[in-house]
Amino acid sequence: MKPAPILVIGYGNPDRGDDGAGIEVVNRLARSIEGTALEPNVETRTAVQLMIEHAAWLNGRVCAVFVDCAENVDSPCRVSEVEAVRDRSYTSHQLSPPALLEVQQRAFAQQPGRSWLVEIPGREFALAAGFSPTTRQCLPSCLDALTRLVTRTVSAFA
Amino acid sequence: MTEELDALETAANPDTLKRVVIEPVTRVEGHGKVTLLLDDEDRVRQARLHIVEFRGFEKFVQGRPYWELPVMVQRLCGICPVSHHLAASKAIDRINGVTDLPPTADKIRRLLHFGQVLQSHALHFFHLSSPDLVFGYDDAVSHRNIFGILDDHPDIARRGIMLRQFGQQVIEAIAGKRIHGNVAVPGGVNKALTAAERAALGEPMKEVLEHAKEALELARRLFLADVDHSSRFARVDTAMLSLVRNDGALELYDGGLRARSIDGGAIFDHVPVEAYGEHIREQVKPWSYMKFPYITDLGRDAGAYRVGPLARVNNCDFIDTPLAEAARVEFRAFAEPAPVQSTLAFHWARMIELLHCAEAIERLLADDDLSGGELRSDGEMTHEGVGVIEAPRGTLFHHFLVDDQGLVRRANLIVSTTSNNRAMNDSIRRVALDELDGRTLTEGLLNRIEVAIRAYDPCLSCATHALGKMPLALELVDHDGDTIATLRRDVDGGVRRSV
Repeated sequence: MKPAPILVIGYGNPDRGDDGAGIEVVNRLARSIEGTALEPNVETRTAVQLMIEHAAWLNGRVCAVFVDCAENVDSPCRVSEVEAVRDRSYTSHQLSPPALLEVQQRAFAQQPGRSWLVEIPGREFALAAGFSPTTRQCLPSCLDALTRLVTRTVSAFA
Repeated sequence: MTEELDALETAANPDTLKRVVIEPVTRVEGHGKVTLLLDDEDRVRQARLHIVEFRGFEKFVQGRPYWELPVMVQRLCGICPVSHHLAASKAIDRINGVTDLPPTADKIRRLLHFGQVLQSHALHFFHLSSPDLVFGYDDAVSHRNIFGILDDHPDIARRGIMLRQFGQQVIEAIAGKRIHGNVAVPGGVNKALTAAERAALGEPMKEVLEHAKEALELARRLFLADVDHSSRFARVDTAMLSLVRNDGALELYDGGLRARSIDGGAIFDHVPVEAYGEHIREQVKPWSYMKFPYITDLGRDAGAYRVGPLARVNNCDFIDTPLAEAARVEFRAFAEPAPVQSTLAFHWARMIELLHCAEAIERLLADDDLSGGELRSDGEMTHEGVGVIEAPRGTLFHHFLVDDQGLVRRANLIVSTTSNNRAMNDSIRRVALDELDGRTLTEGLLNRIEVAIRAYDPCLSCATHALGKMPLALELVDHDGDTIATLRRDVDGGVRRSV
């Protein structure tokens, strides 16, 4: 079976407060595109952290979107393009999106046409359920930005 | 075990010796350290593997409803949660009075387990161990890792990634999540697989089998490249313990207990798992959070045994999938009728099992029982359940006693790595004597200690539960680092003070 052209990966630890916000946004995206024209073009996945084997998820994609929560984000949502780079996150237990792309490039000699990192601001990362007020407030904006990005990408190759 | 190795457990005069610490032990699951005590001539006088984390699940499941156990205990581990989930589920099947599961439930659980063993074995061999075996023990640390493999041998790295990814895909399809999913319930499972899900899992099967065959060939080739070294490195001769099927076949999910002696003779065979306590006891030592199990019939000193791929492939009479069986025959020819004792043979045996898992998954996916509608059985509630499974790292025992309200009164877990504790310690002592004794230590030499430990694929975080028996040593040290006084609580609860 051919993989969906767009892969959206939300990652973080839902047991650590805001750290699970990336997963929450991606789960909301999955629900919101159910039954729409986007659904067959977009596959959503979640993970606690990016690891080497996730490189195989990227194979055959036109676009990969990583959704994370980060402390140093001030706007409701930050979107940046990412490229394959072997950075300091290069360990077997936890990779950054650029490092994961680099693993895919080395292991499978391919990578998505374009890749993006969507970040939602996070303030509380201690062991806890639920989100801080700041992060909770930013969830809808982040979902909007992600949906726009995915829609624009689908339009580009449709 | 030999007196030579036993003598290295505790030095006669530790305070006068130099101390070398390998901390943390790398490329294993969980946290541990190794301490070596050397005399003035760099002769090794003491070598110990210490487990520096503590879990204590045996204690804090007490008072919880028994039906929570399969979900709770899988938090023991992020690598083999499926094994704990299934072992606990088997125990609570018994508490529910269920001895036979419907075929759908039995096969769903087995498929889940094969996926788990496959992904865990792939992780260990490719990510953790292959750098030592492919590049050599003295290769630069910055290169001797999975990324070095990725750079120099992308085909090997690709196999590891694909095999692990496939095993996790099987787990996710059945349990909903790759880690800490939930499918087994008392007396069965909560979900079958649809025909479409089976077809999707079967799609990459041909490729998976090819990767598994290549993985086995690599492990075999690496072992045979220097048979003399492979055979003697970290070697300890022990009994072997595993489950086997009624007909003697390799069995990962169910069956009876079999133990073979060092020369291959039967110590016990087809023992019902409920009787494990008659055959295995656990010893506690004051310097480790991890217990030291032994075979009762052989006694505390001679009763050390090993579990895991090496024990399973040695112990079974055959494997019921053709490719793995052919590999087993070649493997066993090395030592038959005695078990293959080489510690490095763990890797070869592990890849035989990985291939078996791939073959078994392919076979099961063609079985329409996986899509059946009868998911659970019921029975008369009892107050005790024992669940035993062959986890990737070896035989895993879960034993629970519950009260009339179904609350857990007692729990006993013998985790696979715990069973290998004595052998791992003896393996590092063997390496210390053979490779380090009297030499100036280098990173490469110390890595040999880790190579010995890694061969067992220990999961140190799973294996530490000696709550209540935990020895404790308190030292009062002055500003020069000299010990002024020591307070020690021993495993029997006795307290000793020395000044």
